[in-house]
Amino acid sequence: MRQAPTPPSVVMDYLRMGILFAVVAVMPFFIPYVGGYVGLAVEMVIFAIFAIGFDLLLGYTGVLSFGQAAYFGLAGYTMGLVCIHSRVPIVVGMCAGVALGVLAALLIGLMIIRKTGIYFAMLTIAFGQMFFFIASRWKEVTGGEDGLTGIPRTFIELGPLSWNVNNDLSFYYFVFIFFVAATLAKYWLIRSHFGQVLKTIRENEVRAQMVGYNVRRYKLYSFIIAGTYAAVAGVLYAMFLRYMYPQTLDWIRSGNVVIMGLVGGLGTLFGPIVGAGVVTYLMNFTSYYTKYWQFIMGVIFVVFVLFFPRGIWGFVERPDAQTRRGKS
Amino acid sequence: MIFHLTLPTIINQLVNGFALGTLLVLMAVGLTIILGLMRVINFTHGVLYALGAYTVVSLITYTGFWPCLIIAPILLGLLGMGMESALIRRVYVRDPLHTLLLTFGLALMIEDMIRMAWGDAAYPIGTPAILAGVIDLKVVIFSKYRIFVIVFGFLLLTALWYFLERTHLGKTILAGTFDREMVVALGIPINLLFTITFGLGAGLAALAGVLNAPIQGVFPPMGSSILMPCFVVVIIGGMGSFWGAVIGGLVVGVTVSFTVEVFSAASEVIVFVLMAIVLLVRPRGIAGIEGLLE
Repeated sequence: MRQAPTPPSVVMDYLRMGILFAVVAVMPFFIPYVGGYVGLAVEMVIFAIFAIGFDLLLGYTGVLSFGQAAYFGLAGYTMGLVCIHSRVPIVVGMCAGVALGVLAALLIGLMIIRKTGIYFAMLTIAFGQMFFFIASRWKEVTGGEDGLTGIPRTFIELGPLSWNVNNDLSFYYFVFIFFVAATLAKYWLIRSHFGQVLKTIRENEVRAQMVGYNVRRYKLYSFIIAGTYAAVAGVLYAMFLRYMYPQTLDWIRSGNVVIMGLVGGLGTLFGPIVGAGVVTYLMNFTSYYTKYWQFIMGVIFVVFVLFFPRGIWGFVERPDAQTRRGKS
Repeated sequence: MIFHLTLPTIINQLVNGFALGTLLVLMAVGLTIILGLMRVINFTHGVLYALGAYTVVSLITYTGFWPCLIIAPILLGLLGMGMESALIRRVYVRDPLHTLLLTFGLALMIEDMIRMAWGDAAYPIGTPAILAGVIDLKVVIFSKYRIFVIVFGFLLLTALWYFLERTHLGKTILAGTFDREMVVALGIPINLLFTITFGLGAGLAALAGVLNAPIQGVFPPMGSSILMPCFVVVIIGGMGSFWGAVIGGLVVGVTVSFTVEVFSAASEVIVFVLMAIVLLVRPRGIAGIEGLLE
């Protein structure tokens, strides 16, 4: 049997991703000209990874979690604790962090996935705050409000390979590899049968159930994948700062990733990446000039919800499209 | 960790727990009715509570403490109604998640606006003279003010229960939480009902803020710090349930006070542990309405 020719849209998608990767790859070299620095570029890319995974859950499955920072922070703390208290290679610490983040997403997901809509959102916030309070009160282990200091970022050793990620520029390219993998994985996921089922659930959960899909199981998978992305981003963030603090698990941080998805455009491949970049950049910029960055964040939130609910990328792709109406 | 629970300590912590629980109930009742009727998680509930407390900060030198108990709920009830009809109403027709995001954004804005207006520092508020001091029964000592909070709160809740169960408007609101479509089909102006409910919830939150001002003082993040326990109360009590919120609030209040006594570092985490246990045993909460948000 002859293989079907690749549809032109796929070629276009890979072309777009190629352009994206090229721009991100050279970002450390042009970001100083727009008021940034390499460290900011690192943060932008880490949050892009976080937002890409989050969008799979909210943008593609239609499930809002308001507690994603829990998996982000838990993974970061775990990675830090493992590396501080033992002499294992950093890679082992990273794996431990991601594993625990994913495990937490699995357990909490199992407990709450049968709830829907805003009830689900509320439960995710509550469970997220649980981790926040553990991090801020369990002083003996986490360092409490002062945070966890001394997280190593020296050499990445994989078999014979050894990569010094001590300076921000080389760490940037380390993160970049994860970013490329995260983007490609999401692209393949959303084009696969699995991704189609997720979209069906988003559009009409009852119908997906009637057609015979186990909706809860698919939602749980989506939740766990988003948790995995959050955990990977969290581990990278802990390495980047060499430090973890309780506010990384807070619901404000969870709200941050929601705003990134919203500003960029939910349910699109490039939207969350654009959103993560724009929001991180803006936060950094505004915190130079005012301590009221939370106010600015609130304004952005309100303006986008009211006037641009499809975000920047949604607007770029289809400026004339209507906003999706509610189901209930 | 040393357990030293003597009888006086137990009674004292019960009083503290009931006082805290009463405040949580006042907040959670508003939250849960708004949730049941409007399907909105109201993130601004915390900042409305904080604004209620800041009303005391601004007015106490002019009016004293007591008038704030009336002025703050009216002012913030009106603010809540204004917010609902000017902003939140615009997104009802969309995905319910948008209303959540909108109130979250508003809450962030208002919390920083509080900082701009009143600064970062905390304000201590003196207990009103008539309730200062303690009731000394030799064996146990009660703080007069906390007893007042419990009594006042429960009188208010009784009034609220009477309003919801015995008046036409209250009945209509309750009916809306059970079956919104039917209420709309009967020709009741649902938008007006939403605005009134939102205002009522805002007023109750503000009142809780005023009542808590002499206990904990007034500080900018006070709203976000009480919002989480309130969410938990709503979850434990069951979405949309008045009595669920009452029981949930008292259970959470008492649990927190006792944890403060025996193992204070866990006093925040215990709330979430309690929630997880309740969810495992009763997925719908203590008195959750069947079919609501499922």
